[in-house]
Amino acid sequence: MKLILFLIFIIVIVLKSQAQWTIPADASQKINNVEITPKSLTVGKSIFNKMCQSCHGKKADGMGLMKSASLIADSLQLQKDGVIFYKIATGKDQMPPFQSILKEEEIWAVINYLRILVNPDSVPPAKNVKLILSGTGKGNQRKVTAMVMEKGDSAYIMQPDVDIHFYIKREFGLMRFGNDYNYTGSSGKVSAMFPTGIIGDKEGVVTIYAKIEDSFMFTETTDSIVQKWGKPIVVNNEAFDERSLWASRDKAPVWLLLVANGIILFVWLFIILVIVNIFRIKKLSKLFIK
Amino acid sequence: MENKNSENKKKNSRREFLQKLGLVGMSAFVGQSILSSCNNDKATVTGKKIKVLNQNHQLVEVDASSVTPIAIDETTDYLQKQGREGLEGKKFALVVDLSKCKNARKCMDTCQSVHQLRPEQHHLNVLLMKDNEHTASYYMPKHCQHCDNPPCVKVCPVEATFKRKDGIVLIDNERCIGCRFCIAACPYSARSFNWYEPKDAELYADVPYDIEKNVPQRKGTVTKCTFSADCLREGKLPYCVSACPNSVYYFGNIYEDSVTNGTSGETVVLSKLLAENAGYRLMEDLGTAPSVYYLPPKDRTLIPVDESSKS
Repeated sequence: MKLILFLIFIIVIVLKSQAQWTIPADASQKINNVEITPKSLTVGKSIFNKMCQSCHGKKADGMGLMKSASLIADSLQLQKDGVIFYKIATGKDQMPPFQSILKEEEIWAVINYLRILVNPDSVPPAKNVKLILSGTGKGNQRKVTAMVMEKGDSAYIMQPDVDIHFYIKREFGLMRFGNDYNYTGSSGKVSAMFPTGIIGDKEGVVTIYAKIEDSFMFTETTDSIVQKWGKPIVVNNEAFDERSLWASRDKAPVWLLLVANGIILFVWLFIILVIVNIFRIKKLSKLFIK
Repeated sequence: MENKNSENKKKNSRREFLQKLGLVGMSAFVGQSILSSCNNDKATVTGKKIKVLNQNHQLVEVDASSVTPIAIDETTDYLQKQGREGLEGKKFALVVDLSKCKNARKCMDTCQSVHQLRPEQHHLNVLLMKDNEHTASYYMPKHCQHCDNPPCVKVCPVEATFKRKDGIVLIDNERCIGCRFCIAACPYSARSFNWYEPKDAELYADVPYDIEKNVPQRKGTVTKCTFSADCLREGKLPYCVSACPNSVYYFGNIYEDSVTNGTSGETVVLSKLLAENAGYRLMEDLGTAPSVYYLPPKDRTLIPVDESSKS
C-alpha cells in the first residue's frame, strides 16, 4: 500500500515538473537583434536587478524570495533566445508578463545578460576609474556634476560614455534623481539637476552620491558630497504632546479629569455629609434624652 | 517467567553487542582525546545539543560547544524604556501597492515566525477582496494601521497599549490584563488574542521581553503588529516589507517625505507616489488617521491574466 502511494506521489511530481509551457512555433523563431555590447549588458543587468532579482536571486540561480527557476542552469540556457523572450513577455503562474512594462530591446538586453552570466569570460575585464562628484548653484538651480577619469601613464584621462547614477540618501535607502541614463560627455563630465523640495536633516543637510554600477566596462565606484541644499526637517510632535484620550495618563484631557475627579469629590462629600449628619442626630438625641 | 526466558535467550547476543559498542565507544573516546590533545582549540564537542534560531528564523540544533554564552544584561528595563519612548525625529508610514500583490504570503510567513504567532494569529493578513459579482477580485494585505487617533489606545484601562512619538502603536504584554477592549474597539480588526500558549513558548522561556517585538508572547494577552519597531531601531526595513517578492510594500519616514520599496530598494517621494497613484487610507470617515496608505489595484499588468480574471 505504502509503495503504491509512493509511486503515485512520484508520478504526480514527474507529471507536474513536465507540465509544458507551450510556446507558439513562430515565437521561437524570433531573432535577437540586440548586439551583446557592454552598453546593452549594462541595461540588461540593471533591469535584471530591478525586476528579476527579487524572485530569481542575485546570482539568477533561483534562490530569491520566491521559489523560482534557475536561469543559469542548462534547462534555460539551452533554450533559444526567442523562447526565453516569449516566456519573459507573456509570463505564466507566478512569472509576471513583462511585455507591458519592458520594451522589446530591453527584454533582449536581459536575455543577453543571462547568456553572459554563464559565460563571464566573453566580456573584457572591467576597468578601474576615478569618480569625483561636485555641487554648484543656488536656489532652484542647483546641480551636481560627476567627473570620470582613468589613470593614464602620465596624467588622468577623461572617460566619456560612462553611465552615472545620482542618489540622495534617505531613511531606508538611496533615492535616484537625474535622467534614466546619464552618460558622461567627451570631457568626462555629466551633470544632473538637484530636485527641489528635498527634505534634509535639522539643518537641511543632504548627502548626495554618484555611482557607477551594473557596468560591464568599469568597476563599481562611488563618490559622495554633503550639501546644505535641502529643507530642514520639521518634526511635528504637537498631536503627541497635546492632551488627548489616547495620550498617556499625565496628558489626560482636562474635561475628563474634571468629570472623573468631580464624581469622586461628589461621592466623598456625600459620605462626609452623611457622617456629619449622623453626629448631628446623635447630639440631637442627647438633647431629647435630657 | 516467560519474560526471564526470553531475557536469557537474548542475553548472549545483547552482552556481545554491548561489548562491541563499548569497544567502539572506547576507541572513539581515545581517538578523540588524542585529537583534542593535538588541537589547541579549547572547544570540545560535548555532545550536548542546544536549540537555536538562525537568521532565517529556523530552529536548528547545534552542539553546546559551538555556542558562546554572552553576558546578558540582568536588568532589561532599558527594553521597556526605549520601547515606550520611540525613535526621535521620525514618523513611519507604510504604503501598500495593491496592484502588485499576488498573494505570495511571504510577508505573513515571516511575520508569524518572527513574532511567535500560531497559524491562525495574524499581525498581518492578506485578504481576498471582491466587492461585488461584477468587479474583479484583488488581494489586500492588512496590517495594524498605526492610527494617529487610535481607538484601541483610548479604551485600554491599564495603559498597556500606547502610541509612541514615531507613530507606532505598541502593546506591552507585561501590563495587558487580557480584557480585549482594544480588540473590540479596533475598526480594522488588526489585533489578535493569545487564547493558548504561544507557539514555541518553551524556546522563548528565558528570552527577556522586548516590547518592540512583543516577544516572548504571553498567554492571555493581546498581540498586534509592531511595524517591526525592533528593525527600525537598527535602521532596517520591517520584516514583512523586506520579505515581499512582488514590490508591494513601501516604507519610510513621513517627516522626510520618502518611502523605500522593500523588494527593489527603490526610494521615492511619498507625497508624489500618493498623488500620482491616488493613494488612500482605510475608513477615513472614522477619523482614525491611519499611517498605512493603499495604492488602488489598477493596472495589474504584472499579474498573469488567468490570475486576475479568477473570481
